[in-house]
Amino acid sequence: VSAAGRFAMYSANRLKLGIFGPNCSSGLAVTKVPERWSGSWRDNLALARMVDAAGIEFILPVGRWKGYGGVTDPSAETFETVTWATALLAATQQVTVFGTVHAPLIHPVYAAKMFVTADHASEGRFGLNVVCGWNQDEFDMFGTEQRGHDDRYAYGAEWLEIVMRLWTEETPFDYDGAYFHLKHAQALPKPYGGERPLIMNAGASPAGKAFAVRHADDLFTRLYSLEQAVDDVRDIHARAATLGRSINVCSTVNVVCRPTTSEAEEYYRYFADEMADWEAIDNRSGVALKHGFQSAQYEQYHADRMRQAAGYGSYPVLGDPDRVAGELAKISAIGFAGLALGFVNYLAEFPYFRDEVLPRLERLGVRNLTTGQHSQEPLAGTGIGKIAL
Amino acid sequence: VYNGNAFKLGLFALNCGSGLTQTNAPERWEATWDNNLRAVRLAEEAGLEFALPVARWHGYGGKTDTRGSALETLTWATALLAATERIAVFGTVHVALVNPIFAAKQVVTAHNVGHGRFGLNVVSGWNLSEFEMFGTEMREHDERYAFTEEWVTIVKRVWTENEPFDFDGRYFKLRGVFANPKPYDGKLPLLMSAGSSPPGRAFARRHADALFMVIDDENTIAHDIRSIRDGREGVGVFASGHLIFRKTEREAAEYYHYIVHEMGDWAMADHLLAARIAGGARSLSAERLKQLRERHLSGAGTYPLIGGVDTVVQRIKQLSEAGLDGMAIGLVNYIDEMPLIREELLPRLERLGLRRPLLAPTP
Repeated sequence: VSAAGRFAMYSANRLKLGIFGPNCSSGLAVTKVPERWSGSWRDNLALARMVDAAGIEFILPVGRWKGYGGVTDPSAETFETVTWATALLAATQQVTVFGTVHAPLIHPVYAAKMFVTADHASEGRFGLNVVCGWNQDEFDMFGTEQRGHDDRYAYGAEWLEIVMRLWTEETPFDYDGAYFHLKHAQALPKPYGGERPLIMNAGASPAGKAFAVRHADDLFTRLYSLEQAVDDVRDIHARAATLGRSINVCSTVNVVCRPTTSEAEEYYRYFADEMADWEAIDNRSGVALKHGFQSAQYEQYHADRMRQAAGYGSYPVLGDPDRVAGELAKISAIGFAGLALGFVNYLAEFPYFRDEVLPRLERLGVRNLTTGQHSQEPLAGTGIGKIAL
Repeated sequence: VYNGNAFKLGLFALNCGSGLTQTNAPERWEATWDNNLRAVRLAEEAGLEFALPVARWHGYGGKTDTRGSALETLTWATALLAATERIAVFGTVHVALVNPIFAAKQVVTAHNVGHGRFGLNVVSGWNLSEFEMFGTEMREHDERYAFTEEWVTIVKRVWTENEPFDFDGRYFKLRGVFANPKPYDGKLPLLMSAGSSPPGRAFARRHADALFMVIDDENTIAHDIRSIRDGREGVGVFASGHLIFRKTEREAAEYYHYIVHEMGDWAMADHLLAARIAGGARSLSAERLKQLRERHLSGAGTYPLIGGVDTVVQRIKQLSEAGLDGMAIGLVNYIDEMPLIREELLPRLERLGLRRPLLAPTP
């Protein structure tokens, strides 16, 4: 088996699937239900091995440094995502694991070598989700003052440029930017196998989106409704095309799959309404409001509190296996290349999803393979491709 | 690291290309991930206690570009911990290059992954050209320890405190600091410090569980160890060394001659010395550094364990009697040398009571 065959992100599946947020206690769900996600290392490891064996393409963490308070203090317990990813990569065979890194909190020379180490420990399965701005109260813990909104992306562009140059350039270089002044910057080894890690970004504001389409391989965008998503996906591809680039559009969904749709809807109402931790949800919203969260669709995001309770405002996909598979196929047809999935308890709920939904996705032609066997060559234009340097 | 062996052994610098030895010999260490994983698994099977990396951001040029290729130590350690069961693995962190809040959570992650087997080697840094790569100013020698002191104080508070705290220091002004989870099983990661200057030792006295020394003068080892330990019985004192040995004295001499005199990269050894001097490594005198040219070639200035196996065993015995708790050793090749260590060196140390035999694995 060549190394390329092991890169799960490069599977031939039209719709790549991932797991979102398991490095944080409570995962994505701000709920008091006792079965909510522990976020323990043991559960993370068991989950990663389970989804790896099932042919899931990626695992995506959330970079969190403190909890949201309330009754359950969601995300109070979080693992640092690059070390977490590296450990999971060392313990799995084919899944791609991302690190989610706030560029202002770590020096790019330091970061570049961490990423390369993770990439080598996994024969090329590490991915980088770069975040340019975040909650000021978390940055306060670091003594780091957040830059003005658009400035964050200028900083992020320098940061990423340095990382990329360290990954590719064979001779030492000086760098004189607005934010970084480096002498004889150099790094060995280079990323694994003459390729480089995938770059993901979730910029949502105009400046954020511009950054993402210019620099990222995958753009995570919020999925509000299938109708609106058609325009959003078209818009992102058009923006990328003006730069002569192509980009994979991805999103996050919150999955509740049960034998019947009414059971699924009932559980959603239970954990995301009746048992929602509203205080923590308000804290999270408050943080965003106070500190200038500039997502263009902020009002829409804020309007649906239940979605926030269920999964960071992720699009809910609820129902019996037929309905869940059908919804995912619809999202795929809109042009989404990948979806990161949230579950209230990933370990408890993933087996049912694997056994019932994945085969249906195969039958719907959205995914070819669910057994962890992947073609060695990426299919052109079908999602996340191999990145040649 | 917490087993009962009187003299503990670990692998040193295997995350860096060529390890500690500046040689052009073709069998010199290639620090690929696969080689690292294999070496650490072999070390674990042989019962060695730990693996200790060197934090290096660039090589030293020259023909072999010693340590030009280096894996970042925290991620390296975390991956190794995920792939092993018993061995302790350290991360070596330049405190000036990473925010303590970031590092504290990385360490906790590694510590949880390894079920408590992670250790943190805190270094202030001495290599000016590496700091320039970061655009980070290198502070005056004594001030580095004041900075390190704050850094470690913050990290320890993050690991232990159950309420958010503010920190108003000279170098860090932090608000609402808090992090969970805490280190694994309520125990803090082992903190190692290699500071040997007076401020370095003063720092280590306050914070470190294990002290890492460069053996500067063979004749005063016992005194130096006593002085470093400074009466604290629970604190481990370790040294860096390099092991170039064979079963007989003659074989060892031939092998050493081949590695050092035939294949040695003297330009590299000189380069390494020059870099040390540029960084103002005040704990070693400039005069002493010059004398150490050959030792920088054979093992980057670390203590030489060179000779036939019986000579090496005697040296280890003397080090142990002088009060040393263990050594982190560089090898020309960390995989190729392991069988000889396992079959010839370890049994002799066991017979002397310096180490206990591993129990045979149950079938």
